[in-house]
Amino acid sequence: MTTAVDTARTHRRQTFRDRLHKFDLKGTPYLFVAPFFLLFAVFGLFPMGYTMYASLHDWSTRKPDQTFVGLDNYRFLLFEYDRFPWSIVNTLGMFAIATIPQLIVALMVANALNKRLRAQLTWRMLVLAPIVTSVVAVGVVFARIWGQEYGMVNGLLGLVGIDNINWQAERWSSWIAISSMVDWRWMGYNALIFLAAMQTIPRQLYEAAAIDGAGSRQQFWKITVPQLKPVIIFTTFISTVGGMMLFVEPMMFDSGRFSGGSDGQFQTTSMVLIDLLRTHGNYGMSAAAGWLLFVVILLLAGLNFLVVNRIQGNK
Amino acid sequence: MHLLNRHRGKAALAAIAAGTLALSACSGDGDDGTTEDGKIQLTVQGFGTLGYIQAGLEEQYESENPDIDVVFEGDGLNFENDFRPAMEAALQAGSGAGDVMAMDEQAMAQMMANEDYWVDLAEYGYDSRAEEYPQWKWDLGHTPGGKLAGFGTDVGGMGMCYRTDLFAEAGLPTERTEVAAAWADWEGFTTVAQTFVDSGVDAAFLDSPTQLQNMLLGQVAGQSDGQMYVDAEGNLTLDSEAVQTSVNTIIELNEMGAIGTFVSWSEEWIAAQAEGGFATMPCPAWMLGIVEDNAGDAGAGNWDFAAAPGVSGNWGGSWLLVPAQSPNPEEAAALAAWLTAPEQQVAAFESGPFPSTLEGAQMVSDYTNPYFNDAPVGEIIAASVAEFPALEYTELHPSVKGAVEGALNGLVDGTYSSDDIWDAIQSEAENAVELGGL
Repeated sequence: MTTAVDTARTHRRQTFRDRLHKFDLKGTPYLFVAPFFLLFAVFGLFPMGYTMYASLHDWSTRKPDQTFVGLDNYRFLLFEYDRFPWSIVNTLGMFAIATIPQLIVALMVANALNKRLRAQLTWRMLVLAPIVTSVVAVGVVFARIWGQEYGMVNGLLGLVGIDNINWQAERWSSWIAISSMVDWRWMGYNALIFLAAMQTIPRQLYEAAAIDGAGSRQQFWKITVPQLKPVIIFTTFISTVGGMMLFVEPMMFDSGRFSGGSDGQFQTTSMVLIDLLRTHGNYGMSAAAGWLLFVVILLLAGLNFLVVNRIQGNK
Repeated sequence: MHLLNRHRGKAALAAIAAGTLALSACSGDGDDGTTEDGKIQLTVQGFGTLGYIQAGLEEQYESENPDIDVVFEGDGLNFENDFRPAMEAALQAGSGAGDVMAMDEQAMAQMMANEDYWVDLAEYGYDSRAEEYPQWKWDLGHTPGGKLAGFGTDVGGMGMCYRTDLFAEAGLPTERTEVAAAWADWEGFTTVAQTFVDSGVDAAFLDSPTQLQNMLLGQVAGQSDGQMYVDAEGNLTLDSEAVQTSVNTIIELNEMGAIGTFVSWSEEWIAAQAEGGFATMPCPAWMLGIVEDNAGDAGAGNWDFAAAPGVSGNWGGSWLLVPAQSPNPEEAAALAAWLTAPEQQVAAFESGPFPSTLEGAQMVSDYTNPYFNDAPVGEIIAASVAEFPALEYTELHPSVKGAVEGALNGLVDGTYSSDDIWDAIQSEAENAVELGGL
């Protein structure tokens, strides 16, 4: 009897230990990642669900009661409220104008910084300076640069006899002005990522190329760019998401208003979203705009993914 | 990839640190509204300083009431974009609205609609203050149910700021009584504008359409049926006399070429005040301090201030309210009453806001402003307020006003022609009403 009980106990104890051991192996990693996912659930998933719930209601921040209206908010935004579809056009337009030159310039700047330079660190730090500058300050400075009467750009254009342009009045002109602001702020960030990746490219490749007689331009296009492909894809992806959520720059360009010019010439989707909430107190509509923006970003991310797959497949 | 992760990690750390700071800052005072040394803490939520900080009213009240700690918040906040949404959220959430809250007249109708948000100041015996105020200023501080929710602070009596140098260049009179006589009515104003445009001076006559729109709208509404953009039930009233007259005047002045594209509060608008980009602009009392700041030394001696065309009018002006969520409503009410008493209104007037009490207005009537060539600002504003009829702003007024002003800016920057402007106003205003959803 005693032996049997003892054996059983030992057996049980072992199983418990075993389980603990097993848990340590299999469970602990989940515990380590849990904080992130718990925070994500509280600050990411829950708001998303709540926003979805709000978007199906007629919900004003100025009144206590909410009524269920189904997809009515979505219908209004997509088919009746002209500013919303136009805001998507504006956002995509500014994204295209801003991002492509930005990545190309960033690549060139990174390439230059990768060469032997005097005071190398200083140059690298300076490229990053725009990111740490207050956005509001950037907004004020750029609003002055692109001003109609007292702006620097119009002043320079005036030297070659071009009349003052009201940059805020037209879609194309306001897009250019805002893109310049976006590029100025984010070019250095992308350049730094490119630079970090460039430093991991083995020296031997360049040495071999030099021996074979390749010039620096050929080296750049035949070695640097192909080696950087994954990083280029990554920065494109990040810029896409950032570009679709463009908000502060166009807002500052219109002196802190959300209407993006007199007729929404540069009103981005994020600005519509905030305008609906703040100017009109319409939480339901604003939530619906948020979900539509989410869908647009998902579509673009999907497109990105397909393109990336193609590029990697070709490798 | 590493770079990004580190970057994010730091950003997240910074965000968490900032969040903790904010949390601890909020919770530091405890829930009963007292400080650690047992004083009662009263927070005044404002948009801008309302002139109280410059006048040193915090120190003065604390020395007179040693058991009270006064905190002014909200310096630098924009009313429409920052302050109003934050206060809406705080009132709804039941905390964070402070013990005394400033509120602009444009949002008063909306704020008064929720009876439960406010302490009834009459409970503490302040209904006796009625005789200190003009009737309309007193009445607008009440909820629809008749609760006394707020004391008036200032009124935005109006005049016109103008540049004497540009007026002289255009061959117009520069002396302020002559200017006021030349534009005694709106027909006269249009004639002055035409003279200025014809003179070929390299500047706009008016800064932008919106300031004038505000002034004219209020004037005409006061003289006619009081109807502006939208009524209390949320029906658009764009065919009201006030809207028709004001917009048609803007269209006429714009066709004449008298209106500049200096959108109010933009960087260009600020620069133009120093550089002389436009010759005149409607100015509420509180705008004088802003023009002085913006024009600075570059514009010194060039700005003057004259009575406005027509019967002048009112723009802006605020109330102090005591939210029901205040833990110390009685002390808060006492502070609000003190801040709005004639003496304190006069002290705040140093930075712009014109006293709304009858006695306060009397006390500043001989005030002159040195920056505006010693213009008798007190006298001009007091006269404009005396003639001013009470206007009631409806709940949807602010958002429809924003929509109409956007369209008018579009008229001046060439987005809309004189023929499309009414359609643009109509559709933007309809959207604002639909989204406001009464």
